[in-house]
Amino acid sequence: MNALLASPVGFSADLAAVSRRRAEREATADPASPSAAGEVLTLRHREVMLTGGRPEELLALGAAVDRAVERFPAWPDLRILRGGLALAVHRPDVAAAALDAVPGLASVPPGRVLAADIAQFAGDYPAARAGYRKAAREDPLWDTTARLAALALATGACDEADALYAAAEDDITAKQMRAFAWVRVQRADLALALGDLDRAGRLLADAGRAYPDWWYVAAHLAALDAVSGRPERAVAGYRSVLADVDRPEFREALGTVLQATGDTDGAAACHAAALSAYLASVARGEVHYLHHLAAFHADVRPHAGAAVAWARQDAELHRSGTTLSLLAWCLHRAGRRDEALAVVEEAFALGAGDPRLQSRAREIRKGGQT
Amino acid sequence: MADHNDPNSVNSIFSDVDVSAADVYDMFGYPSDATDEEKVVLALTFAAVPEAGVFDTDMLYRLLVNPHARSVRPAAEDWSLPALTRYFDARKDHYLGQRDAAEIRVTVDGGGTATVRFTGFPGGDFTQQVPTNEVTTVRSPSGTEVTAYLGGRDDAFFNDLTGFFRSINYAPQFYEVPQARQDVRELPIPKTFLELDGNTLFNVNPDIPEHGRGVKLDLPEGPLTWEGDSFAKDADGNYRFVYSGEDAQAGKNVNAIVLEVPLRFLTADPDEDRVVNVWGESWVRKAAAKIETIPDDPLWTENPVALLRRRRLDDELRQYKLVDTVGQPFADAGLSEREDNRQLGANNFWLAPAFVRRLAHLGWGFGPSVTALGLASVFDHDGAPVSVHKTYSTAAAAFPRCRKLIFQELRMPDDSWKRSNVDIPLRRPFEIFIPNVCAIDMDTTGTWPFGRRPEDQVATRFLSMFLDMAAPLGPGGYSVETLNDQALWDAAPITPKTPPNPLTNDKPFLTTFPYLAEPW
Repeated sequence: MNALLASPVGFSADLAAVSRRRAEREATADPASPSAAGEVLTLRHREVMLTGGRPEELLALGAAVDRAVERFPAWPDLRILRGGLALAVHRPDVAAAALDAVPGLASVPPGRVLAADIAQFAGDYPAARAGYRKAAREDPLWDTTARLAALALATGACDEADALYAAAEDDITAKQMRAFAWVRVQRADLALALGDLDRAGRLLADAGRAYPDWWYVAAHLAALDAVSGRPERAVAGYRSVLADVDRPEFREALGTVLQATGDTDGAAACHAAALSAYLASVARGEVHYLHHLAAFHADVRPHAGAAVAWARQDAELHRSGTTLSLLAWCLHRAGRRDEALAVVEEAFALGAGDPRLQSRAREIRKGGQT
Repeated sequence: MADHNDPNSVNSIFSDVDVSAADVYDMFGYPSDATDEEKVVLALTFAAVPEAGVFDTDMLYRLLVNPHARSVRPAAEDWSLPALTRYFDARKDHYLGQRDAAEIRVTVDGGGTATVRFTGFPGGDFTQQVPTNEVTTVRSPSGTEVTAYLGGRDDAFFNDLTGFFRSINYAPQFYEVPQARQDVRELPIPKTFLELDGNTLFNVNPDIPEHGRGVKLDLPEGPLTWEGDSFAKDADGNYRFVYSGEDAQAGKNVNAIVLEVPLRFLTADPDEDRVVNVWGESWVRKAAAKIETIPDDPLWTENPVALLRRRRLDDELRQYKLVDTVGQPFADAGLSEREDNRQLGANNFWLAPAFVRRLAHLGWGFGPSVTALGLASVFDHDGAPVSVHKTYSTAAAAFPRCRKLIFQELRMPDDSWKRSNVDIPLRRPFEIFIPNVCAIDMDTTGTWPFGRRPEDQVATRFLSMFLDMAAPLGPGGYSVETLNDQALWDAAPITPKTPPNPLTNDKPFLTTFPYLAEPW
């Protein structure tokens, strides 16, 4: 009798509900209606993200949105969706084109947020901050606050970042438990980056209770287990994640923790599979796995030349704190300290300062090849 | 390990979530007809979600009650902006000075049992659990009996919602408005009672009779404006009414909290405190309160403003987020433009300048259409032959235009609203809407604007604000009921010949508690 008690709770029920709703909308959508097209595609996007946000699915969805845009070029929701999809696969140029395609779109809150996302992706942190703040003034939403938190973290203001995440969280209701879990995961990542493993664990436990069975939380728990010296648990965690979401970066992570347990054959197989997927993506002309390739060759299967080449290719596409941090690290691993130092300074000059950049900078300044 | 679920993706992963159980609709309040002692009827209605008679267990509803003596207001001759400001300041102190306002708080568990808490009343604090969908009696520690009903009812609001939205050119009622176009709500087209010639976006389209009544079209490309210079007329020379008089809420249910409370429980001085202010609020449980989370509170150092705001709340309320408020009908839709950050309930004093600007904006729209019908407009529109879309950036610029509207007494059709020989001044718009409360005068029947009874056609009475109540009109003159008079419309050059909104509810109200009709 109480419909509320039967409403979706947790990942599995949520996914089933979204899939059902998407199917219903697809069956009844008026093909001549831009709003119907936007709704169906937005539901597909939500479904894709729930099921792992695999780049190949995001790219396919992007193509579907492009087809819808051809029919309804002035419908702004489609452009915003297109922009978000493009950024998810590291194509800020496509995102910017989507934003520019509809006059005035960059002047309304969702457009301001997308513009700020693009700015942050490109390492223009002041512009990103200004955009998010303006959007938040015009239309205060928890996820804009969360974006400001991520920006604070990217620029090294860790306390501010956690406070902003807490403020975002305070605005999230019991009807948005997935959002709450997501924010807790971000705060756990921050705690982990600052070395507070216990707090990270508590925050992830909160996320798991808030939104049970979500692979996203499980993946971060596995990463925490790996860092905490619990490779067996990490192996189990990544295997459960891969059962839901087969992404190469999870395969790579599983390989690394298998290595830690002494399963070198298993590790090699996982690493090979991940590398193969990364390279296949690049062979298709995609750019979203460049940074994975660089990191893989810097730290997992060291190949200094390849690491620098991939990292440089990524940094040439967009010079942000993230890409410069990785390039500097790869140069450092290649023994090219002066170049690494120069790149680190370039990242700091942008205003970047996240904990990983800080840590890498310390290592590089200390000198020597790690 | 890199991660593609970065904040760029957040907006799409986490879509808007339906929290419509938080949508509070109406706040009714009037003196009870009880003969044993003086009582007040309070009724808060809200969306029937998950369904009529079943409450959302993540919601908390509050009825805030503030009895006081009648306020002294500016003298009739002192119709100045400074006088108005002084009045609002005085009222603000009165309300904001009572942080511990008395309240009735309701939550309902999954089994359908409601917890009702009375706090801050001189009759004593107490909490009682009651079943939903039954009339029950709760007893205070001092023995006072409060009659209560919490459950599903017929929606007691009866109005032509489509007509109202047509009058203000509110696009989301008629069109699929893109999420990204939050700027496209009330379109920059003059507000009006009469269709504008060539206003193809909002005029009734006989080919799509359900447009705006459930049928939405995709928002057209091109300018969302109107370039005409006259009202539309039919072949017989009649104006076209934007209203149809049809009840958009017919056959719909709500959930409701209905209470009948002795006045002596609400105030220690019922002889002096003759006005009972009441407003309703909906709060939704915060996610963090849904689970047991880590105990640290980073707000302390990093967000002291938010912390201070929270510290004014009690332990339970800190677990919830305020979503919606209701006091006066149309204070939100008509005057506050539905903005989330204006959900302030009684604390809407800072909106006073916006209130003045908004009334002037509405006046430029509705005023000329009132005049075109041969009625007296209280708004000074310089004899504009057709409605005008005009906005103001300052209250000072807007005030001269709407001064008379703000200060005019809203006349009643007769004296049946008085229940005693007490000399009660007629109410004026400025004191009705700020603060945004239902102010129940215990020496009246509580008919709007002296409270609100279910049978009041408040939507039409709201429109009567734009009539010049001092102008002559037949033997009785103008009143809040003028636009509810079928004879007026029969004689007006307009089609359809109907009052704007239905005169009665789709289901008769009950003569006994809980007064609102049974659900459908």
